Amino acid sequence: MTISLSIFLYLYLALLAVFCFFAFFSLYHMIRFSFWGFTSFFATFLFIAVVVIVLFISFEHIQQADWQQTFTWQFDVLHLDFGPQGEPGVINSAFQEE
Amino acid sequence: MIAPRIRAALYLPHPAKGERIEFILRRHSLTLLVTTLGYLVLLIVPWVFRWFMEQNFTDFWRHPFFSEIIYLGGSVYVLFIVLFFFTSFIDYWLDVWVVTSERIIGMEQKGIFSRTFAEQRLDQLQDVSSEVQGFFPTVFHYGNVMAQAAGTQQNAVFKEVPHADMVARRIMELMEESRRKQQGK
Repeated sequence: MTISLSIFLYLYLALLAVFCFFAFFSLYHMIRFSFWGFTSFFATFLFIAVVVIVLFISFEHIQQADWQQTFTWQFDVLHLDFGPQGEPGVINSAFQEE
Repeated sequence: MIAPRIRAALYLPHPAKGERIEFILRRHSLTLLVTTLGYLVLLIVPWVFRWFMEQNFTDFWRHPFFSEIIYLGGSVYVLFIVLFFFTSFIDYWLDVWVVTSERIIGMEQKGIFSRTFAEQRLDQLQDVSSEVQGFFPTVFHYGNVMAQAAGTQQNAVFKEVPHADMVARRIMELMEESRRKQQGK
């Protein structure tokens, strides 16, 4: 079975979309219903700042990664390999990188 | 410090003539502090996980395929912890109880998509009580204030407010003043 790393990138982007949805409504509630003062302004600013920093660092890392690499897992149920110590029931599976 | 006129405009919708704000209450800040400490501990988890993996599963941790997955997972984890903390802060910050010389107003945020606004006139209240239960509420002087309304009206509950006994006593004084004013009319 071959898995591409890009699948996990798409999954990450989907979770990011969910995050953005809830972050939008949180900010909406804060702006719409909050009694604005230093505390609320500071908390909102801190939230936005931390999110921007985390996203910036993540995207910097994402740009450097090779998302075309794949991972292949060979699992053969018909052949049971015994380990070096002769332990019964140990199944060896081969990990291959392409 | 917010000027009294601005304060009244922010917290008091449709003020009556001569109505003054007695209290603007939120939950005790200790409740937010406990929540903050909890989320800070959760934020440390990725770094503990990283240290554990580097010590015990070095090959897996440095594998070019799996390290990217772990990095993405860590990024999502941190973002959602920060979001949950901000949501908790909003829940704390938007729960406000205002006591004026004429009425009590309760504004409560319940989750992201639920908010309640309740208002009760002081002359319609029948009974006010306070409750301080537990070690931290006793040491830090905070608790619940329950204002029981007449008939089928919903009771007002001020949750985990500072100096609950003093607040309850003052509300009862204001109730008496309001009734005397009504009888005098």
